[in-house]
Amino acid sequence: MAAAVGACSGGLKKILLLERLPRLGGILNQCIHVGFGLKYFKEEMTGTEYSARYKKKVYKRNIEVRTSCFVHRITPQKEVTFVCVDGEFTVSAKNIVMATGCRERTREMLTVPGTRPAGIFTAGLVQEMINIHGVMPGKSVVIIGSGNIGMIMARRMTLEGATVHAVLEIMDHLSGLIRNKVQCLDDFGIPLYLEHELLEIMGKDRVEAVRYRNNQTGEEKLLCCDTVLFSVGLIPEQDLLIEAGIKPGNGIYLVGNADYVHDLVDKVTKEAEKLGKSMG
Amino acid sequence: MANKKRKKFICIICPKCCELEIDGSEVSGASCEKGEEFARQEVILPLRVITTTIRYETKEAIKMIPVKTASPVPLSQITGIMQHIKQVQLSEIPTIGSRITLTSTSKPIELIITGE
Repeated sequence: MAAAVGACSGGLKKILLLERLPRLGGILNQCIHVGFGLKYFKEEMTGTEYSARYKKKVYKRNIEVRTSCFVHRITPQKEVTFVCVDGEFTVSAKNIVMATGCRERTREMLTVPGTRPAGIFTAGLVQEMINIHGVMPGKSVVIIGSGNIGMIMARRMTLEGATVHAVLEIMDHLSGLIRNKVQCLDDFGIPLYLEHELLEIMGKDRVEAVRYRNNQTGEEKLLCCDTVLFSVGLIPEQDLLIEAGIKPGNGIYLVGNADYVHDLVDKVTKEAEKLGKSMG
Repeated sequence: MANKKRKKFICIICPKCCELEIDGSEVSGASCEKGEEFARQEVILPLRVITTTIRYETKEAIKMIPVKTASPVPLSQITGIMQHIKQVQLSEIPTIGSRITLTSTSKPIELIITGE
């Protein structure tokens, strides 16, 4: 959105904004917590408010917005092919901005031993389940990794009545912001175990327990739970470029979390607006 | 002898996460006024904004409506207030920015709709 707004301010006349989901805003739409907008809008807002406010800027401008469009091919000649309800289309562009965000690192990418029962999720997926679809994925939870989304979901699941037993972090320091440890874990008495490594996920049909080790003492423990959440990092979504063998440059850009993981959406917005303007 | 009034906090107002220390009403470590206020409030009564969702259900679909409390509420009351928020019934999808007043709580609590 911000790259499109920037490009419009920079004087570009033909701007097409393609979104895979039915509405603009991306991950902000599932971020109901506060902590957004202090820098850009100079007020504290939720992710959903931030997205709604910014969306107005897009719709006020001469930007063609197409939602529910799935881009499945980009070529080095800067042709973009996408599928939507009306069929498949290919457009060619002078500039392409990839604002595709990140994917979450999953259990499979960590190669955690154990069984493969139901009840294993990434933190962001659970955020979508609870905040968008109103579905609670479990009652008794262990969170692996101390990323921001994991800590925010520890609080969210606690508010929704689940018991979050612990956050296990393999490193000797927190991976997210310390304010999130304070207001998401400490406020609700959820313990953070640093230098603790997940060894095994146990359970036949449903998760029944996790086995973990205190890497300082070597002590191993079992913790009963029905749900495991992973908050172990984000991977910039660049598959369309990688598949086509395209390196960013020559009018093809990566912006926001698709480029590298940012802490603040405000910074993403500013960077993307600047990039958009520079194309005009 | 250590002063019992001295307390340390991590500021949660912004992502800077300043390390605050309060001694009586004297706050050190804050890089803004909001941080100083936060520390003073934190020793009296910790306050937090609740953000959650209200379920809007029709025969056709379920829509989760995001809300936040208009002002921060006492941290110790959050679990109780959540129970009241869960009881809210909506007759239509409210517009972003509109307000709902919870009257079932001991003191009325105002909720702001934060999503579309």
